Amino acid sequence: MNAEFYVRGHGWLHRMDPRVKCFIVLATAVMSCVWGNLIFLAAVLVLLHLFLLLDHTPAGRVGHLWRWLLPVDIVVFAVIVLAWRVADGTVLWDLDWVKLTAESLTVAGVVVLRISNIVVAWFLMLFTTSRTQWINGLARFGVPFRGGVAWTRFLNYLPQYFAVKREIVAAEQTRGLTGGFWSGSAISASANARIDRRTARVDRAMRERGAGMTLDGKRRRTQYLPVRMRGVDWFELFVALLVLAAVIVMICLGW
Amino acid sequence: MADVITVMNLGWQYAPLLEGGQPVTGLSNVSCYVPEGYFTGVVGPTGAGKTTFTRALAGVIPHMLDGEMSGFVRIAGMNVKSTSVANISRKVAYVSQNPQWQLFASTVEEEIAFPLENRGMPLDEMKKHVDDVMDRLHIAGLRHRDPTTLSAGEAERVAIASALVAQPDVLVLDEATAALDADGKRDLFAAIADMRRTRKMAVMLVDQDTSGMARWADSIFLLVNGEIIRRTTPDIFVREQALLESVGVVTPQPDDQAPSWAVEKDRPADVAIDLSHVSVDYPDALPGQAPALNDVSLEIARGSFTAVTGGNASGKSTLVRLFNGLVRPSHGSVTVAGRKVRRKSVGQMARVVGYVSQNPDEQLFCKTVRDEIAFGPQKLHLKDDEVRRRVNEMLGLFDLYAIEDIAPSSLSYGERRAVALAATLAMHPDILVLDEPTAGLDRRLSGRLLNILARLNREGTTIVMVTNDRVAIGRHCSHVVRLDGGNLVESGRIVPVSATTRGKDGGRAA
Repeated sequence: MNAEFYVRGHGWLHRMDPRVKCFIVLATAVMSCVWGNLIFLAAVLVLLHLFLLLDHTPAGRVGHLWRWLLPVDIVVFAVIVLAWRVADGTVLWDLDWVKLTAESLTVAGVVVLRISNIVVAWFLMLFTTSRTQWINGLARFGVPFRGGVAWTRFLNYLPQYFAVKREIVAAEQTRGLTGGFWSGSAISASANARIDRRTARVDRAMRERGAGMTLDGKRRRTQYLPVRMRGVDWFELFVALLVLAAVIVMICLGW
Repeated sequence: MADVITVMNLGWQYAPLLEGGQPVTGLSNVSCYVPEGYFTGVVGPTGAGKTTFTRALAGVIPHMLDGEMSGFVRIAGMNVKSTSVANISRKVAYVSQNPQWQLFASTVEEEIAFPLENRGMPLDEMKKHVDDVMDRLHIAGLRHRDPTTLSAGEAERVAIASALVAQPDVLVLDEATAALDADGKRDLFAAIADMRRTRKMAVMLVDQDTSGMARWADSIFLLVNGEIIRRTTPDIFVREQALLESVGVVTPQPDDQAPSWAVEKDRPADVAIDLSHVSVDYPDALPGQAPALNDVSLEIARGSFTAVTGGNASGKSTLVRLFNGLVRPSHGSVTVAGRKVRRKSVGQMARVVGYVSQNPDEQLFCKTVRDEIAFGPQKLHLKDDEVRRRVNEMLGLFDLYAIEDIAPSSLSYGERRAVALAATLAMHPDILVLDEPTAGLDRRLSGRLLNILARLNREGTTIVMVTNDRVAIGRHCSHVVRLDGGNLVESGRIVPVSATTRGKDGGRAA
């Protein structure tokens, strides 16, 4: 059962220290919010896709993301274009009930690109960071193991919900349900009950194997796949800081 | 020799299954002692309290399940009541009945390393331990696999490896060998024997297959109705064979008494299931991983009772999931009852093919047992009277009246299996496909189930059953299909070979 956003792989993003990756994603999101330059926002979106391409993240996964994101973008774009009133803007198209201006198109483009950048950047993190990397990365910031587990469960609630729903519908189909995914009678409650049961079982299994064990003296929980900053991670962080500084300069210069 | 397990007057009552109902007694007045380094086998019928007993040893009872405990349990010097489950695990490793419930890490090696991480073991030492246990159980090839993609047998080995890696003082295995093939069982017992040679590790093994404990165990506990009625030595399997069989325990069969057969090539005139050059590659397979099925061509006769056998990860479950479209072939075609499965949905195929999966939890989704059984007939658009008649027929056949209003998810393993089977049979399918239906069931329950299947087969239902139970195959099956590593090794009609013939020509037991 594939119940997480993470896509298995060994590309450069998969190997990158999750802390550096998280910094890049946050910087991308913050800069996209701060600077409303259309060219910058479009370039960031292209760059994020280039990153995913170079990482060999399957195009199908990125396409699946756009299946959900594109309709949202279209709705947001349409609402802004139709609702944005500029008293003395350049009118491109005038109907009685709607006035399309160059300013409203620009604003809609900026908002849509900002949404896309933030979402794609976040999913870049989700697609390329395994549960272990999340948990071990958070542990480096002092977050206890249980906190890391709870965070990854929260992150993956949606894929888990859909995986369980798919499983229930498949069980219903083996007993004669002829419709597809949306026709199953598995309502939220039964899928959620199944998720709760699984979560309880996994919690039990973790404790049966020592999660939360009292350790002697200064002994701490160790990691089989520890998160460590490699030389290349420091270089990537340096490049990210350089780009961030350049963007801030450009903002300050009023480009 | 000091005792590593001391149990005195242990009682456990599970919280009521229904609001306002009565508590369910799991154990009553159990007392026993296990010396350090002893290998103890626990036998008893399904529902006797074996799982409850092992849960009490691991601390799951009373810390993680609702109910009331009485009496006293001390294990490896720890009082179970006052020690947390995590701290008990420092010296006690526990493998539960369903290994897939226990696996949660991203890869197999992380799964096995998990107990060592929790102990704060340095990385180099941890890697050495993980490599060692993987070699012992021959699972090094699974190192980078996602545990959720493993077959039941592979998952079982990984769960056992994760228990052995911590080098516990007490190893508790609850039906943990049920899905292992012969090689897997041999590897497990060899690994345990090896560990016991170098350190005093006590083993508590619960199993329906008693052949392993007959050879390895120092003592045997017989549990019936929540009480230990015998604390004795393995010669109970000879001395009190009649008693054991009367309560549903299978006693070890000498090899020369086990049914044996030869396979005769057979070209059926009337074909129910036809596979032509079928290969299956799962999308989540690792690069270089062999296909789950490789160029399999096969014909299964209408009205036959066919056993599908093979070792762990040989492709048995993948093969039978092709029959109703749950798995789609990467290459080749599957035709069932004249229908091209590729062009049909699983729901459409369900009118012809009834499928009972290996794990009943995958299959049960309704709020009560009655609703669960009624679901299929309702989807066939039968009249209410007919639906009610079929539900009552199944409740009677599987003796489920007492639990008809209870949620299937809260039932015992044996009961959940019975409900899953009843829910499928209620649809009266022409072809019935069952994946390891007798695994984890005692002799009486599995015998009853097999008799029901034999009766359905006599009435015309084509039955395909995944199993490695030689006795069941010899007694009930007309045909056999054997797989190995995703390849079809042989298929055909079963021809019984008598003990005398075997002696003369060395007739092969499948």
